[in-house]
Amino acid sequence: MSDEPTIVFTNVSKWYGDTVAVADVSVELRPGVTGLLGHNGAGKSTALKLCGGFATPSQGSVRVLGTEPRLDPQAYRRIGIVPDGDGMWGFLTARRLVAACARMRGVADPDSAAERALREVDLLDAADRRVAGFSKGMRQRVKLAQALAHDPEVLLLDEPLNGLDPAQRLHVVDLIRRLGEEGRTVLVSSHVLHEVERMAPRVVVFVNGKLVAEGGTTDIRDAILDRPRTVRIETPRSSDLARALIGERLVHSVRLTDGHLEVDTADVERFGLRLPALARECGATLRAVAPLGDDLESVYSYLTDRARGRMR
Amino acid sequence: MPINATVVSIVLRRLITGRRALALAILPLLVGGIALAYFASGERDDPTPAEIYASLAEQFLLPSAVAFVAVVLGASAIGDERDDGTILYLAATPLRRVTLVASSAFAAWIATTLLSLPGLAATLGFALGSEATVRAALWSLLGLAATTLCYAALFGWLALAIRRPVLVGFLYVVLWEGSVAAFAPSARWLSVSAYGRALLHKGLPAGTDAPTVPAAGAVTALLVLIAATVVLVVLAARRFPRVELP
Repeated sequence: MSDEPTIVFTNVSKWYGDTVAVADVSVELRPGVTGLLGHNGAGKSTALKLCGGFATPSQGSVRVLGTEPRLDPQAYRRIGIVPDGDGMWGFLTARRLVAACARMRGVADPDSAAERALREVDLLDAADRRVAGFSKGMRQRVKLAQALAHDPEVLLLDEPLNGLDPAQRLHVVDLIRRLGEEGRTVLVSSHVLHEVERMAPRVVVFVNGKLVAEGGTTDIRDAILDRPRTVRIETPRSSDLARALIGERLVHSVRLTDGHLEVDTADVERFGLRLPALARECGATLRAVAPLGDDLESVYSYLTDRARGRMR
Repeated sequence: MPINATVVSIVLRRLITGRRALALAILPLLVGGIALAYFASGERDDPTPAEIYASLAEQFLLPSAVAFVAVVLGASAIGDERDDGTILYLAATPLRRVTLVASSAFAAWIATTLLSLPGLAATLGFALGSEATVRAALWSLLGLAATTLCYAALFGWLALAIRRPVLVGFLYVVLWEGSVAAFAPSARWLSVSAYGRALLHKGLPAGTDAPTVPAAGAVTALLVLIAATVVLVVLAARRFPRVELP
């Protein structure tokens, strides 16, 4: 597997009027699968559009396989794209649609290419049905098949698992992982960490258009899991439990909110292990224990703050 | 000009199927309906059938009815693909951008000509009646085809150049092609349909009144329309890479 970067963002910004979609991103992606992680509106789709040559950077440059596809359409022989939208030529059968895409991309035998690509996505059974009658999951697989039909070196996949049922997800995750192992550069976006984790050894994380983390997926996951947390505890003896938690140095601050305890801890794992025993020791019945701010937004905010701290 | 058969077949199929195509075909037929009313009246001396046909075809059919069909289909050839995102599947191909634009315009041209043909045939048949000739039919067909070719390129370019191509196209047809340019002799050199009229008029008997037909030969009229088409397609192709796709 070559280690040359195949996708290179250099100081890329993209704005639409006053809205900044991508802000000064520089990153190099190499063969293998890279997850593009971020919440909705983080700039993932814009980043993929910039790679695919469907949008022009307001600043900086995006090069794929050493060129800008927007200005050099020949590059599309080597790039496969799964766009975000559901629009398709519904009057065509899946087989004809995929073959038409392969033909337009210069494939010598588009019918065989369509057959192979539809088999890859497990859609041969429905290949001769019109796409208009397809479910979201089937459309998603047609999109993937047309991206694979010309055997591209680079794949840009925008949320390719959307709309798939669990079995199909598993199949597509395996397929994407295999494509990466074959030496292709696959950039796949998702807002679900564990999904990305299953197919991408590397991940780049976008928050509000900024690249806030980049590295091995396991490292990023650990950073997310190890981050300080606020935990809400419902117990009738909140004062006693608060004293015990502080005494054990499990938390660095406690608050009483609406009669419930809210504590901040930097060591989530030790806190989780010790809390039941401490509660038992001071006779505090635990009615509920729930982490606060565990949504993706706060996870990404944490990564943003962490990235800022690193910059300083 | 390079044309890709796959792009043409996809765009054409989209344009000529569905209720929109049927509704559009009615517009030129309305002019045929006026010709039918004339035919039913039995009046044949003043104005003559050729004058009636010239008036209906040159002042209503080409600059208004056919132009409206062309606005919708010309702008939709690329506009529909852009609206629902399928343009990405066209754009993500190694085809030259001029090929994409020319193929879309070609599909719009075929679709507009096909949907306008029944209206042209009805207008010609009812207005000229027994005076209809093969010569009149062939020149009319050439006039129609050359006009729709240029319209397809014009409205295809508009679809890439501005936000509301159909609205602007309608305004252009209403305020220019179908009004000033169709009725004011001084504006006859400055409209697409005028050159189509020049071709159509060649098939009519000598001396048929033609106040808004430019005094251009058939070859000149054809060359003007083809040259304008080429320029518009090239402009659209240059515009294509700068357009934000969905």
